[in-house]
Amino acid sequence: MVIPTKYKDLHGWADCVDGFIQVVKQTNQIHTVPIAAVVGPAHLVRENASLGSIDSVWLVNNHVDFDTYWTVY
Amino acid sequence: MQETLPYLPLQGWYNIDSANVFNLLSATDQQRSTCSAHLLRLQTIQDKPIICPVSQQVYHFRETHVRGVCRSIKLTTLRAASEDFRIPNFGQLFRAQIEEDWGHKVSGLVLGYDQNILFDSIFIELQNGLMYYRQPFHCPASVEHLGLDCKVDYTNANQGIMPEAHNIWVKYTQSEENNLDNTFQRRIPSVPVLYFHWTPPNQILQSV
Repeated sequence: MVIPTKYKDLHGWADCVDGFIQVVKQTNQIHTVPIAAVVGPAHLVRENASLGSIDSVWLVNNHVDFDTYWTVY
Repeated sequence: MQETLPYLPLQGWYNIDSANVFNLLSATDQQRSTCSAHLLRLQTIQDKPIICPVSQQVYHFRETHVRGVCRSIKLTTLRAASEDFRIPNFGQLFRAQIEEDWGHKVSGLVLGYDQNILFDSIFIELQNGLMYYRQPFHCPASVEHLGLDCKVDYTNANQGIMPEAHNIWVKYTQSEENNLDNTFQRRIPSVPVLYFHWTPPNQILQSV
């Protein structure tokens, strides 16, 4: 069971400042997906993490270095 | 040789093939030739299959699979899982997935035909994560496996003990993509809520 995300803005364009695509969770659309459909880990960074709200915006890290990622997380 | 040729043709003697070879086409023929070249190129592109570039895979990885049974909960009913993981329509989602995987007949025999029932008699096996295989970027000649955790133990009783779940990329099929709002080339970053395993009883599978 997974909660999918969707683009924050209409077209999913990268932010002009940081260059990341911003997404938000679709908490009202939980999907059931087979395990084989999971293609790997995704690195989502919460914007304004200090606020901690459910409706927060997440940055899709498209320059992820998984070796560093797994060391940190 | 080409420089002398413009003086050779006589007035009224114009052959388009020869003029094309010697780069002496009239303006009208040049335009026509360019248009036909464009059309030919478009036709060639349309006839060719669209090939998506994919990175070369050195090893044949095992598919991502469940890593292990959750120790603290193991088996739970659909109703309990629905409440613990805050999935109000778990019953409908479960039924839809069983119908897709095993067919309408198995779904009916196991779950009954009442669409609104929240099943107390159906037990699912909770899994605490996935095993994912990959080639490390800094050492591409090797293969390593990593665990993708999920907050399976995240219940009201032990809330806060488990770490955050690892977010995952989920690949959808072309038909499923039509129902989705937006994707990254049919992939969507998703947050796992619950990993579980369920198989219909052998008696039912044998009778079908």
